[in-house]
Amino acid sequence: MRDTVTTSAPESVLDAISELLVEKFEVPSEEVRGTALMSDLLIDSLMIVEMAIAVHETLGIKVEEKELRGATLAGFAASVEARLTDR
Amino acid sequence: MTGLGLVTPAGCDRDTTWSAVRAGRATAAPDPLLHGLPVSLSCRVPELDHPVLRRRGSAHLDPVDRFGLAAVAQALDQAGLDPREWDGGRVAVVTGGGVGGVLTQDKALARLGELGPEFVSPYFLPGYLINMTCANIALRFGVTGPALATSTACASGTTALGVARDLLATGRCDIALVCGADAAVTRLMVTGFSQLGALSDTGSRPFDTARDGFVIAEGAGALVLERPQHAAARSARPLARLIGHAATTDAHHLVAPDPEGRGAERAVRAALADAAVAAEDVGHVNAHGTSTRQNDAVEAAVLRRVFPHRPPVTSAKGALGHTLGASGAVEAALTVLALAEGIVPPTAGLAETDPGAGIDVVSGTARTQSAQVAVSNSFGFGGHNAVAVLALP
Repeated sequence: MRDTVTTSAPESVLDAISELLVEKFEVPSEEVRGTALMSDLLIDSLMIVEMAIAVHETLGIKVEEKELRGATLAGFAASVEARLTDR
Repeated sequence: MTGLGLVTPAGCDRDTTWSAVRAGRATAAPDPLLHGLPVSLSCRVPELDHPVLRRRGSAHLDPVDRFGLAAVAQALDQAGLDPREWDGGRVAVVTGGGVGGVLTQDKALARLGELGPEFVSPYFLPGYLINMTCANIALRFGVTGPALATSTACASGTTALGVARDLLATGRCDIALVCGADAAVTRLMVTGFSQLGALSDTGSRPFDTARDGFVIAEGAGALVLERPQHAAARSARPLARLIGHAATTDAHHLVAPDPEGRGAERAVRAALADAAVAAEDVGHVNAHGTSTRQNDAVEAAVLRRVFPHRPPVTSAKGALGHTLGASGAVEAALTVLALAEGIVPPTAGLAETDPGAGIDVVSGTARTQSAQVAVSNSFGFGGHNAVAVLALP
């Protein structure tokens, strides 16, 4: 049996960000896919800033806006996840 | 005037609001969010859902913007105007509001204090600034002509009507969207009004012997104004005409009305002159009628002097509470509905008219009254007085 912490953690970061996208940023849930670009999901520059704040607040990880602009949802979640496990 | 929209404590549309006002149904209720304050009575807008608020980007809107957008959407719908088809450069929007997005401000201030500056939302200022209801309306409906926000406290909605009328009259636009909106039922705002002694914790009773203050409310009223030629060219049916408007200032005290009501009286008389109607032509007065001791006494004296023929007077604030900067627009819309139906709605909460008032305030049930012309008064903190004269088409 695999360690539940290491297997569930990446999913939970992706889930947490996906949930923010749907609940806080009104992204239709069918558009929330790992391959989608964050800059396509967050259609306004203020949303990018707001997402950075939301990630900082809910996951305790400070992210740069430019990092959000360039990443896919899955890539961004993985990068946040890597910093979470580093701590 | 070709379209009306209402979002009020009585309901999120024109018809439910009108039926409550027509029936004299008071909407004040104890407000759990005001628990522990000296005054905890308010009139809240019920849960609001409108197609215009289901678009992306709506989640961060302050309630004041939600109310305003829904009211304007209703008014455009009634006017039969499709923003996808109009020349936006010939459309103006004029809003009236007393305070802007104060709930958004409260939330941002709390986060600044509890979490620090890096946790303050970038949506704080777009939600808080007093011009943003106006900007949101322009953005959603493609208004690219003049857009401006007026702020004369509780007279704002009626001030906005006058500014819009002037933009139309001077040819600056063909259509003017007018929206009065306020969403100021917050702990701080209620405390502020309470410290000024303006609020009642028992109920809104305009012109009543036992009145002891206003009940704070929230909401929006929207009106579509068009140049008559523009409305005629598209065969739009006018609901009413805005035939006169005037604004004056007391310059007496920052928040207390001139005890003689001189500024208010000048505004009513100037609005009648602007409309080129005689005082006796007025068949219905929608009073500012806040239910404070001072406002109602001063206003009654003004009405006594200007209208010796004692036309029926009503105050919607008995039913809806005081929607602050929205009230002028809400009440102009209600006045149009009353003229159209040939009635004057009762003043909710009024049991015994102050014997000193000397005016004919309608109470109990609506009164049949086939008036052609009505006056709607709004007076605000700051000594602002604005009066609109409305007539059937």
